Formats: sequence, C-alpha cells, structure tokens
Amino acid sequence: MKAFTVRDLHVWYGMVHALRDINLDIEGHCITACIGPSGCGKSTFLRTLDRMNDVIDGVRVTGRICFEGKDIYKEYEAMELRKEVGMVFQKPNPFPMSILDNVAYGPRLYAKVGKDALMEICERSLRQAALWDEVKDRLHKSALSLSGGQQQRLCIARTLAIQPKVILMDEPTSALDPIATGRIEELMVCLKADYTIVVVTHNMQQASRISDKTCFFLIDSQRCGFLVESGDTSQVFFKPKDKRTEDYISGKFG
Amino acid sequence: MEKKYQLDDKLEFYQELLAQMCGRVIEAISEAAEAFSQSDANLAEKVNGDRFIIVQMRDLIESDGVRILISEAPYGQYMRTVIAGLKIVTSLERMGEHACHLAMAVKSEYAELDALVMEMARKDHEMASLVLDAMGRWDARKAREIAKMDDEVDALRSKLGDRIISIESGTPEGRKHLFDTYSVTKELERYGDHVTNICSWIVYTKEGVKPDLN
Amino acid sequence: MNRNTTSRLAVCCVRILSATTIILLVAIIGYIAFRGLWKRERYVSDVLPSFSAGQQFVLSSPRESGLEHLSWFALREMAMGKVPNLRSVTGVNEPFSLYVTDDSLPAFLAAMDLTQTQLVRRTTLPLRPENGSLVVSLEAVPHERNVRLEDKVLAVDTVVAALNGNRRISLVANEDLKRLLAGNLRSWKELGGPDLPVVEAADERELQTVRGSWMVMDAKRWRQLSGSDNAPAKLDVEGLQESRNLSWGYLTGRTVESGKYGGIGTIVVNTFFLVLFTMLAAMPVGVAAALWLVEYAKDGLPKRCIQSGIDILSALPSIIFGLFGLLVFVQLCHWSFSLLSGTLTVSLMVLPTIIRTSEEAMREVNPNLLEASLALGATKMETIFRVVLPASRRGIVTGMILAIGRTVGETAALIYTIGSGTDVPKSLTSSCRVLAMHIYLTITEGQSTDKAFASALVLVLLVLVINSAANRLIHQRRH
Repeated sequence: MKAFTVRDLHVWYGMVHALRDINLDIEGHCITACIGPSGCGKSTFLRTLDRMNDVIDGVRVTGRICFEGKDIYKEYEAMELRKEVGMVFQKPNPFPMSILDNVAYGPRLYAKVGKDALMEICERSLRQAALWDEVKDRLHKSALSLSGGQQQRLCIARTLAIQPKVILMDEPTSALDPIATGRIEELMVCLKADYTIVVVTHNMQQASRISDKTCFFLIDSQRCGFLVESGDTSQVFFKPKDKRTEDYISGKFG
Repeated sequence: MEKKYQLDDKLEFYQELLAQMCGRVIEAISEAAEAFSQSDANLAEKVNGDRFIIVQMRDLIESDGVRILISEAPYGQYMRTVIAGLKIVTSLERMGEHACHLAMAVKSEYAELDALVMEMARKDHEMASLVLDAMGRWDARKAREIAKMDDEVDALRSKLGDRIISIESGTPEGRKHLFDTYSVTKELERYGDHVTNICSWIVYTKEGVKPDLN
Repeated sequence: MNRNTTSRLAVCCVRILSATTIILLVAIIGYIAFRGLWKRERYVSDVLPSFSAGQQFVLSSPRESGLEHLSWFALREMAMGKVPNLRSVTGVNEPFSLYVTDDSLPAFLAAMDLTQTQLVRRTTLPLRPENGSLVVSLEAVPHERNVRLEDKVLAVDTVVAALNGNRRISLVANEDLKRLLAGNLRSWKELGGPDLPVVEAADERELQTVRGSWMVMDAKRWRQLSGSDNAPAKLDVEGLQESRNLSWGYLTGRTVESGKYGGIGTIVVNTFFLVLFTMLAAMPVGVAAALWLVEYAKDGLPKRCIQSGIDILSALPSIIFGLFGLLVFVQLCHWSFSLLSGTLTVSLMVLPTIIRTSEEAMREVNPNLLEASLALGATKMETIFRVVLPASRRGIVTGMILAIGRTVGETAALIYTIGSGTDVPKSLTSSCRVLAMHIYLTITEGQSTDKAFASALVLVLLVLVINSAANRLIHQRRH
C-alpha cells in the first residue's frame, strides 16, 4: 500500500524554482531515506509532504501529492493532514514545559482528555520512543533538563502521541553524538512496523543501515533540485542506476 | 584542473597492484613451462622463489582493499571492484602455486605426453594474458569469452588422461612418471579453473551479479 | 602622561562619579524618609513651650497624636465647658469631654484658678475614654499619652507689645525665643518692636517699672494681674513640635480638608482602583497589539507606520495626554472629572510600554517551537495561546509591572481628568484622587508639607517595591 504518491511536483520559493519534476511513490511501513547534497531540496520535499511549507510566505506548490489516495491540498485540511503525518526536526525542540505536558500537547489539541487517559497515552508514547524508563520518575520536570538525545526522543514521543500514520524526520540525528544517534536509529527500525517513516539524512551509512528505500536528489545548474533515482536501498547502494548516484554515495561529491 | 578524488587515486593504485600480481603469475606459468621442457633446475628454483613474492603481494593487496573499504566506505562499482579484487588475489595466489608445481615436475619419457603438457601450459598462459587485459578495463564480455577457453584446457586434460591410461608401462619407475605427469595435468587444469573464477569476478564487478562460468 | 597614569585617573573619576550618584540617591531618599517619618510643625502658642510646672496631677489623652501639649488658657476654657468640639485641633469632629477624678479635683481647681461650680466635667471615668477626651488624674493612666500642660507665659512690659508706628511685635519666632532666653537679644527692634534694650526682670515689680523688660511668669498669675492697671502684656511665641509623621493611622485614616488633616486610607484605595482599571483596559489591548505585530503583520508600510506611531506615543510628554483626556473624555464624552476619564487617559499613556515589552518577549520565543506546534496539527491561534503566550509571560508581566509603576506615579495626565474627590469612588463616573495627585493637592490646597512628605514616602516605597519586583522578574527570566 502506497503511503504517498507524488506526481509532477514543482515547488517555488517566490521566484526561485526549488524543486522540479518530482515523481515518486513512498511505500507504507518501511523507511524511505532521502539523500543528496546540501541545498538540493530534500528538506523542501519532506516539508511538502505535510504541508509545512504553507507557513512560509511566497511558497507555491504545483503537482499532485496523494496521501492514502487523497489529494493533500484538495481533500485534506492542513491540520487534519498534520495529525496523520507527523514531523521531527533536526534540532530537538521540546516546549519549555514539563515532559508530561510536552507529550500531552498533541492529544490535548484534539480532545478533552481526562487525567488517567492522558497518563496512559504518555506512557505508551514514551515507551514507544524508548524513553519511558529514563524519565518515568521525573515526568513533571522541565523537558529542557534532558540531554540532547533524550530531547530528540521526547520530540519523537510527542509526535507518536497523536498517533500519526507517517513520521517525517528531517536529519533527526545530525545534532546528536554517535551513541544517541545509534539509539534513535534503533528506534526508527522498531517504529517501522507500525508507522511509515521518511527520513532526510546526510549520513550515507545511516541511510544504508536503516532504510528500505532510498531517493537521491541533486541540484542542477539552475540551482533547482530534482530526483535522480529512487529504489530499494540495497540496489541503490550496491548497483545504482546512475553514475551520479554512485559518485555521491561513495563520497566523491562536495 | 580537474579535481582529483582520493577514492579514484586509491582504486587506481589498487588495480595497479592487481595487474602487477597478475603479471607475475603469467610470468610464473611461462617460466614454469620453460623449466619443465628444458628440465632446467635453476629456472625451477627461480619460479619457486618468485612464488614467495606472489604470496606477499596477495597479503599487500588484501590489506590495501580493507583499508579502502574502511576509509572510503565506497558503494556501487567502487565497492564491487574492491570486493572482487580481494577474491581475485586468492585465485592468483593459487595459480602461482600451480605454476610452481609444473616447474618442479619431471618430464616423462613419452614425447607425446610432454607435448600435450606444453600445449596445456601454453593455453593457460594465453588465458592468463587475456584475463590481465580484461581485468584492466573490467570487460565483462571479454571475460565471458576467456571463460569459454577453459573448455579447451579441460579437453586437453581428458585427452592426456586417455593417452596415459592406454600406455602400458613395465617398470615401477615408468609407472611413477606416468602418475606424476597425470598430476601435473591436474595442476594445469586447476590453473585454468582459477582464471575462469577471475573472469566471473570481473563480470560481477561490471554487472553486479556473479555468474557461474564453469 | 603615560597610559598607566591615564588609566588610574580614569578609574578615579569613575569612582568619584559613582560615589556622587550614590550619595545623591541616599540623600534624596533619605530626606524624603526623614521628612515622611518625622515631622516638625510650627504652631503659634500663647504660652511658652517646654516649660511645665511641677503639677500635682497628670493629664492624659487616648489620642495618639494631636494633643501632645496643651496651653493653660486652652485647658481653662475646656474645663469651663467652652470647647464642645476638638475640630480646631485635630480637624475631625470629635466631641470633647473632660474627666477629672475626685482625688485630683482639689489640685486641679487650684492650678486652674477655678471654682467647682465653674468646672464642667464628667465624673465617672469609663474603661476606655473616647478619642476626644482628656483625663485628669493623680496617677498616669496606662495606655494613654501624657499631655504636657504648658503654663508659663512670656510676660513683657506693655510698651514692648504696644503699637510702634505702624508695627508691632506679633510673634516671637522659635529661634528668637531661644536667643531671648539665652540673653543674646539686644533690642526689641530686632523682633519688630520699639527700640528698647532687652532686659530680664527679676520680679513683678521690676517688670512693671523697667521699660523693655520681660520675665517668665505663671499663666495663672498673669491672668490674675491682667485685670489691674499696669498689667504686663504677654507675647505669643512660636513653638516647634516634633512628632512622628507617617503612622498606621495615617495610612488607614480618611482624608480631611484636602490633606491637611486626616490620613490617606481612601487615597490608597483609589490608587489601587486606578491601577486595576488601567490594567484591565490597557493589558488586553497592548498584548493583542503586540501579538498582531509579531505574528500576523506583514512587513510593509502599515506595519512600519504603526511601529513609528507607538514609539512617538511613548515619547510624548504626559501633559499632552492630560490635555487630550480633558478635551475628549472629560468634555467631548461628557464624563467630566471621573475615574473613567483618568483610567482611559493613563491607559493610553502606558500602552506603548506594554506593547513594546510584550513584543520583545514574544519575538524571543524560539521559532522552532512554533514549527513544532504546527507540525503537531495546531492552528496558529492554538499555537499562540499554548506556546507563545506562556513562553513570553515573564516579559509581559514585566511590562505590566513597569506600566503599574508609571501609573502610580502619574500626575500631569490625571490633573485634568480624574478630579480631586477624596472618597472612594462609588462608580466609574465619580471623581477621586490618587496618591501622586494627593501630594500635589496637599501642598497647594491643604497647605501641609509634612503630610505631603508622608504621602511622598508612601509613594516612594510603593515605587521601590514595584521596581524591585520587576527587576527580580527580569533577572529570573535571563536564567
């Protein structure tokens, strides 16, 4: 079952053409990695999937993106879409509230939740994010007292609390040390069973380690991003169809 | 000025080492054939000594390949080149050993048999030279053609085998010579098989799939 | 001059300047505190101050202040029932009663030169005498203040007090009195009297014969002599009364006669009301405006105009707001002098402060947090209420406290808008006065600088408390 189908996607920032001719499918229940050099539009592409580009002035999107068969611009409200498609950012950004309030932020938006139900949701989300054991006795402490890796897992728990179908991750481990990175990667592989994950990464080893599908973006001479190839990770890393892909993933670029 | 990438430099060096080792193995079989036909003990000794260098080169290339994998973490054809190289040097080292055995062998009294042995050795030499060329450009088509040549070596061996069986030898010494000659042909056949193995790794590097070319 | 010397010189200058500043600060606040806590009142008295005879009875009053000393003549009038009300002394309508205990009665009558029939007194002493009463007894009454009975007069030769040309000695000032008593005064001319040498008389006879003589005489004796001819005259003196100024009674009492008497209890309540209503009017508008400027406004001409307008408003002199309030709220809207006009005027004044501090606080909120909230499916409004406002609440509260500080000290804007009624306002359209204005009015209308200083001390303390609260909040925020 395809989670997203993207056809003829073009994105403009004002007069600047940022992404052109993106055609790809994103499979459900697997990890799709988007790789490519800086400025090639992979973050832009990721943000388009949950309409986060709408909050930036002057952004124009043409083409058709369907989430589970429904056009995300015509048949979904931005808010509804973002409930199904969650996003985790590069720099961990927990709210300056307690850990509990952070995780409960999402569920509280959608329904009036009783205290017991809330605790249950929080425990479930924090367990899924592999953070429960470390914070279960300080749920009311400020989220800012956690370490970087813990904060990022908290942000993941916060996203899991709204029970999305897809989790988008924009370079989730680039600001973390290797041990924290390893734990987040383990977490991503565990979450794959229940969620669809799309991750943007600069780290080739990470992409080859954890992803099932890989999409390689490049920037052309007019500074516009485009998709070079996409396919199974083992194929893209073992025998890429395009020489540019081979050169990039072997570190010959940049 | 075109930008030079470390990965390209390292792979160039790696392939250069492979070619050198292959050259030595070709030289080994040629000298071994010469030593066999002339019963030249000194040349045989030289071939034996060269074998030591071949083993050293195998170790060198193996460690260089591992170093490339660790430092460059290459993917695609770059990765396949290194992996293929690691397998190819194993075959090359065996080929060196087989050449050694040919050099140390003693001619039999039967001219026909010796001629057939020389024929096999020449065939092997030809195959090895061709494979060196194919390896330089990772030419999969050429590799497939070379692999087919192994059939001729196999045919020569069975022909030799038939001949040996038909000959009646009276003396135990004579029978021992016949037995030794038979052993030598086994060595030469194995040499050809290793070349075929190298060919399949060349195809693997180019196409990503290792075929069975035997 | 080498660099080391220059550097040392600079440090010296900085130290001198900062020491000057601190000294100035201490001096100003110290003086206000001193005048606010301790008052020195000059009053006119027909008897000499700080002279009290050895009386055989004790005078006491339940009042805390107002009746520290009593002139012999005044006490005689009170004893004869001629003073029904203490209003002239304390400013409050207090009926006067005199309690004389039986055992002190003979001594009292002898001292006052009265017969029992002339005396109007209450005989039974209640457990708690009323405020406007005086108690004469043999022993001091516990929990009541001793009243000092002053019963000596400055008797002089009649010539001294007579009209001299068109001048006459009206009053002996406190300092002149000291000089006179010490023997340092040469001639009566220095006090505005005739050109006669000042001579202290030894007894009554000398007083009546020697020209320009004076002596300290019992009030009772003087009164007895005043009927006869050749009776000596007496001069009124100026006394200096020092007592505590700011007191709990002052803080809670009602204002009388525009601040001359009474306390500032209602004024403080009025100030509180002004602050409350101003905050109710200005905070929502200010915070909403700051929200719009930070989150919704697009960069362009309208936004820049509005921001310039806010800057200009914050720099306008407050008297202009006062005039605006007078013309628009008081006259145009026909609200006349009222709490409503004052509140709206002051709200306009503090609005720029609130907008600026709120705006700054909101801008400091990390934009990544906004993104995170939106990514969880919140609308922009929800993000503002759940993330932006809680995160910037310290800054907003700081702005509010600064605005409160400004409101409390505002005078010029309120002079023409809020009126000067001293009671607690019954509705928004009644006038009332607030603390800063009260100080101004106490000096101009009420004519009492001491009370003004007491109010000033209260105001200074209030401002200090508000500012230190704001400072602590700001420093907490930085951590």
